[in-house]
Amino acid sequence: MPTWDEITPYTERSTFSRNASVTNALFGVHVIALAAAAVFHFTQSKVLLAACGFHTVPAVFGLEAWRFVTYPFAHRFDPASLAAFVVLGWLFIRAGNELEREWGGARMLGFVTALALYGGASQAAWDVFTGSAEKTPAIMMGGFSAPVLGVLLANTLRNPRRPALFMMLIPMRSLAVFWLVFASALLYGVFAVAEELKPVAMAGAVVAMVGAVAAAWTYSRLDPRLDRFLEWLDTRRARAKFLEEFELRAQVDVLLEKIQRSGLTALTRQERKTLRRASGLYKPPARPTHE
Amino acid sequence: MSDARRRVVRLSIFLLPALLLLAALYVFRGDLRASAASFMVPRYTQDGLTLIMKGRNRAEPLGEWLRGEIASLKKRDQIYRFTLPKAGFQVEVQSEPGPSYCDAGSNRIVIRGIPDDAPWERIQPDLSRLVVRAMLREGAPDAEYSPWFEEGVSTYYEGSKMIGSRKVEPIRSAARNAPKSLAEALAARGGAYFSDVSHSIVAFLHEAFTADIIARYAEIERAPGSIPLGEFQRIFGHDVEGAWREYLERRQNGS
Repeated sequence: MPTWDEITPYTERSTFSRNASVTNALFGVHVIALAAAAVFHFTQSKVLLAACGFHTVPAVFGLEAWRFVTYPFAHRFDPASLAAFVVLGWLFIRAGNELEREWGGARMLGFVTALALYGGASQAAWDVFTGSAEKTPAIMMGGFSAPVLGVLLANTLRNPRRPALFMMLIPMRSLAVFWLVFASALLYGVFAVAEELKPVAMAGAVVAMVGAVAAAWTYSRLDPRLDRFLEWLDTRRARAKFLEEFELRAQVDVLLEKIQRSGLTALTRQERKTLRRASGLYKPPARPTHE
Repeated sequence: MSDARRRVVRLSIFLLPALLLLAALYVFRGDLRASAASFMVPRYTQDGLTLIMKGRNRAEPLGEWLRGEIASLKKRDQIYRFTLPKAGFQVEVQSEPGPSYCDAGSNRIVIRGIPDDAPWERIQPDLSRLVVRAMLREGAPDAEYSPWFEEGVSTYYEGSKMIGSRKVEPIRSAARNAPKSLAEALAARGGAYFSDVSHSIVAFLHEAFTADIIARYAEIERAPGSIPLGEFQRIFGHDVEGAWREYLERRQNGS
């Protein structure tokens, strides 16, 4: 019987990037933010959470839009949050680097930011529709579970049946690993929330995770189609331009014959306009400067 | 289309639904924009009571006073079943002018028109009235209290001591501007002298009847659904209107 490693030669081997990458940089910022959270925890200050955390009322209605991007960095410093940080951080490094290798750093950064925005927007919608926004205006949310789960799903959907190791021990399909992690994160969101955040905030945290994951799923499904659509638009535009040029050249040939036959003065205003338009076609392309 | 431009277009399309959703929330829930301003104001939380106001030297005595008054109100109450919200109270003190309010089903009380440098005692009248109103609602969440009852009970307990007392000026005002009939006063839902007249009815009941009889009527108010016609007269007697008018006259004359 072949070993697991033999049938999965590309799995769990080259997903860890030691090079500079946006994923590694983002994780570095998260580690710094966690260290800051530890300092504020021991000094009993809530400045970090108050400045970076998410709450619907200031973020949406107070126009403090930075909270949509900064709330994943507003970590809490308690045992449950630290355990979640270790597990999700590890998954983020692996899945994020793998995804970034295919997508590039800029797209990865945009994707992670968009997932944070979708997590925040989902929570805001939940808070407004359920009336939680008015009831508990003092509670700020933080943590990077929403964007990390989105990145994990996007990476999983590239090859959902690929084998992977759950908890670095148990072999299973990567989609199954994702569902296990997602379910655990939801349970964490429901049960392991700090007492001061219950009961409204736990619903919000779960909604933010679900919102980010739904956004990642939608993106993974629709982005290739959107890419094909934009490609089709480009092709159509290029084809239209080619046909226009072809027609213009034919018109120019006729006009040149007419000039040769009757002189330049015989041209009508419309024909002169056509010649001016065509002159662009025969201009040599601008030479690149090397200054 | 260049690759960079295409990436920007794709990201913009991806972000568009979230941005539209947020814009819709911002536009359609304009009432929450005022709440956003209160996030800049310091908050003081102790024993389930959160005060959002400027000045620790005002918040601390106000919190202490409110906690003490709520405890004694609950202890003395035999009629209205005053109940503290599970999440405690969250009191926001704002300097902007406007009516103070508390929303039904919410633990949030907004006191308006109090300047940042005003003494904390100025907050007491509005706060005591709204706290009583919120605790009355919390005791029977399914009740559809008569407007006069809610208003009357909350103004009866208004003051620096929430022990329940008749207020001289509102009763005189009610005597001067009494409606044509008691039925009209009981059916009123607002108006120029609504608060004064409602207060006069509750104050009259407390002076003319025992706690048991008032509690029987309060039980009917607490039941889900609107109050059946004639219940007030059934509990307090058919000559209650005459007694109320006599009470108003007596108070107007200063006795």
